[in-house]
Amino acid sequence: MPIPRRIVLGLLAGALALPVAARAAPLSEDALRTAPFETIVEAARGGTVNFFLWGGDDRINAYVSGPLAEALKAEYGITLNRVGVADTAEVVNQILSEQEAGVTDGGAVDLVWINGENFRTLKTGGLLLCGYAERLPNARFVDWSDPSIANDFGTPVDGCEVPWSKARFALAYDSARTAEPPKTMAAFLDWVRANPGRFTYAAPPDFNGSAFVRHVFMHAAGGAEALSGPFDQARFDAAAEKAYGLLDDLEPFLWREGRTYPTDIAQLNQLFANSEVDFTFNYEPTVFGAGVADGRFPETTRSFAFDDGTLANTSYVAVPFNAANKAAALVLANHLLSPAEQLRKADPAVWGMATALDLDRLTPAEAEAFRALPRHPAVIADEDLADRAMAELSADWLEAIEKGWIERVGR
Amino acid sequence: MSRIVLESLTKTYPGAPRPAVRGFDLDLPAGTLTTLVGPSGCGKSTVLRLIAGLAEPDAGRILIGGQPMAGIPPERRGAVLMGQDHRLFPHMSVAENVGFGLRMRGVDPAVIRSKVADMLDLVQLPGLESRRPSELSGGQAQRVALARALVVEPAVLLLDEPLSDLDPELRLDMRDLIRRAQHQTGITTLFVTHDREEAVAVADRTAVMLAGELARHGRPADVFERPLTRAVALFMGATNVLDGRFDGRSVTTSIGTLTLAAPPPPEATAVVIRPERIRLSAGSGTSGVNTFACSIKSLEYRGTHVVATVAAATDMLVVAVPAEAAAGHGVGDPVAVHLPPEALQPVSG
Amino acid sequence: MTAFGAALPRRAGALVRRAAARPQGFAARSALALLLVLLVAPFLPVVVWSVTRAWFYPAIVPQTLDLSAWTSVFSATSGVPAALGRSVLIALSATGLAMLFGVPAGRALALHRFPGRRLVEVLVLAPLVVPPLAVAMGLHAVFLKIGLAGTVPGVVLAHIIPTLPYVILVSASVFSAFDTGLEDQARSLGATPSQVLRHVTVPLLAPGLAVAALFAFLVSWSQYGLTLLVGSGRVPTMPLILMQFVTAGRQDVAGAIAVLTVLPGVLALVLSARILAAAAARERTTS
Repeated sequence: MPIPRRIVLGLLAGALALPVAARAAPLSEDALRTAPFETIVEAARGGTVNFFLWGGDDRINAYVSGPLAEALKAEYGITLNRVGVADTAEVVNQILSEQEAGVTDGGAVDLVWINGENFRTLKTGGLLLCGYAERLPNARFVDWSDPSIANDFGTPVDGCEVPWSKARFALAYDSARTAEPPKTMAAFLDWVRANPGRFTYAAPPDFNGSAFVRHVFMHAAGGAEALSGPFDQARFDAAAEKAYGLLDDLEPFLWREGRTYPTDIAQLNQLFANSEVDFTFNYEPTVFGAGVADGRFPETTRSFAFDDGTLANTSYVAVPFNAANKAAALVLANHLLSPAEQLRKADPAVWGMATALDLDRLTPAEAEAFRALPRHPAVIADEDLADRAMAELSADWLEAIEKGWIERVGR
Repeated sequence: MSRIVLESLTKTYPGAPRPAVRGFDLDLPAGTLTTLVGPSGCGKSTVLRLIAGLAEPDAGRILIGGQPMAGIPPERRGAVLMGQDHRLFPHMSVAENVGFGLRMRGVDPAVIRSKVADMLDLVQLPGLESRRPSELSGGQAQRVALARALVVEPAVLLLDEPLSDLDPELRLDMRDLIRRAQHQTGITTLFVTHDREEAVAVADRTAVMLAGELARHGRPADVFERPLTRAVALFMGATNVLDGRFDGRSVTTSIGTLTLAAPPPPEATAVVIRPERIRLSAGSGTSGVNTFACSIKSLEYRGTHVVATVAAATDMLVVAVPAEAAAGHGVGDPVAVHLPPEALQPVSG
Repeated sequence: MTAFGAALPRRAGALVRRAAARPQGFAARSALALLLVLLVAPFLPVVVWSVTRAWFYPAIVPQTLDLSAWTSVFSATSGVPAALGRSVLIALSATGLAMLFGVPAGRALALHRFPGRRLVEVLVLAPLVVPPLAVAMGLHAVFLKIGLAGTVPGVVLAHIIPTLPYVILVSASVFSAFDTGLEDQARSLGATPSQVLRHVTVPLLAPGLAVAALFAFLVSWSQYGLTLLVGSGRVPTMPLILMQFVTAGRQDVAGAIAVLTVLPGVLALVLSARILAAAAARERTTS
């Protein structure tokens, strides 16, 4: 059967559309921080922006390469080149090796979806463009005084990245199996002991498994306040004794009696989907809706958050110090903050990722549009999460807790 | 039908200590089959490669049909080589192999088909056109190779040990086939072999090549019977070489004084006699010319004949006796040997 | 002939030939069938995943068939069709370049003796021994400086490193098995040098060199780390996109991409097996 010429041409066109960095008239770093935004938009027009982000979800890919790219092209004439990665750490390594090779201009990455440790690595290495974030026109819709915006896992943002989405930790269960899930950490731990083999968690340093362990840690320490602020060895030791003891005692009641843990969240999701365990969890509850939509989770999946507090974080976009197309990157970062684009992204039919905007700063009609967004039944309501949000711990705490778990529980 | 003349050909391969071919002259009359015989490594194959144009001589000339060949590429010489390995093209059928040369010359396909069929008839393999070379026996492959060479009606056919990879009985068949095909086509042929019997059996003329040089050239019987030099005599199997002092028609050797049938040439230094030409008789009667008393040292049974080594005076002679004539003899028996004068050949060197 | 020029490739060649030769008897045929099952079986779930939805544990067979993974993979925004085209372009270019340098090198190693030949043999094998990522990191640093990092030409050049040894090894064995006497024979039968090339040399060498090219294509096609690093992540080929969905646990989309990723390889393998089998059939009785 002859292959239709249209497909052959399409393949060729795709192959030849090399992600070449088209240079617009370059603006100095100072100009990027001081020039009127119109100047930046003019400098960026007709250019390209290489947006690096995790590529493991076809819905996100479809949104970024589809409506988002089209909007950027239509409004600013900028071509968005989505660069999918399997792990954001790859992007950090890329920027680090460019710095080592002395590439101070014309770097591969223009904008990267980032937070937490990856952000801290780049910021402390001086590898990010800073000081522009709050000057973006759409930055006025962001509440920069909100601690969960101003701090990225304890690292001050300092205008080195632009918030994109908010996320809060939630657990998923199958309402067909579990009628009424335990809604406090204490009750949950009791449930695990009463139902041996029906729960496990992904082993740190898995991002989500690590977050679950932090919840246990905060519970053991008597609340989030006990661990807030800069790292403190004495406070850590006190909490660690109780928390790891608790997790050790829990082991016999876990799936396979705790002899082995899922190594990543994908495995835990699989166990949950196959009814081997009764819960999974995620820092991004919209994945439960997406999971049902793409058939990985049962239709009867529902989610909840612990009444005694659930961790919240913000994810951002950042511009590396050596980005080839900084002006275009700023235009994209600004566009991502526009109420219309944030509304589209928050729509569960598109992606469903919670907005980073402060609804009070929008017009009543805009705010209403956000409130009126449909919600997938598997995804916990935003307001249910917001009441109980706990700020993330700083990266030092995070690392100490992960390291302690690996040494004392994981072994 | 072309006459082939080789004049003073010399060829030294790069890095070789001595020339492979040195001052080599040879004249192949048109339509004849000449055998070129010599031990391995004497330069026979190099002569063929020089004629075929696959190697260029350092000195000397090659004339094919009167045309000097210097600078003429192999494909325009009309000299077709056929080796001991049939070298059939493995990716072509028998018909494609046989028709190859004609196809390269742009001959009409219908003509090629009929000529290929004729040629396969000639080599007694009719109807094998569509076979692959991998489906042929060794003898069949060699015949196809012969057909492939003959079909282009070359000015000269160069055969390089074409029989040496074949079984003994196939060898005789193939030898006859080559001889017959050569007669029918009249293609001037140079047949290289290291087997002296093969060399004299099929040829119009035989040339002996030793250490890069032409040592003897003539009718096969002449070359066989009258080697002229010691080296040719030894190569052609005249095992008994007796150094001597010549005096008119007699020569004094280590076994005694021998009488020759004709006066020897002045350069003669020895006489040779083939083992089968010496007569052996029982008893110690030594009457008659060139007859000597001796004793049998060893007997070696060779089926059709017996090879006897006999001690005569201070030397040894090798004698081939028909098996039945040897029946009465045993080791240590006294016997008489007779060396007929006409069988004694004076040689030089 | 040295161990490199003949023995090693010949031994490999013999293995391939033996495998490709028609199996004799029941035992050989069952062994071949078993091998096929072992090779194909692990791949079947991948195909099934790509067309199923909501296939949960107690169910032995998928409850529903669904092509949404395929729809998503073939959508304009997935980047998969472009990556497929890019993978083909890169693998073909890398193969072309590797053949350009590797075939003459293999010929020289097989047919000529020259000073330093041993050293060349070792150098040729080096990329097979040195961990590719170590090479890739050095190469990335160099390419960053000269502006080749993150470009398709840069990735093509990088792919020459792992592909070249295969091309050289295979073509060395092809040339050492080639009888130049056939070329002389053709000349003496009246073929001009260009006719010899067209009717004898090329047809006889083509199957072996095609296998060399197929090897090169497959090796380039399956590169992951090298492409990721030298391409600065910006040259997404099929293995890169596949990895994104595999690590994300998206079995459906990963399954569909895996099928697309494996297909050219399977095609290339089937093709090379046929070429080898034909060559083996030809060689069996001539030797």
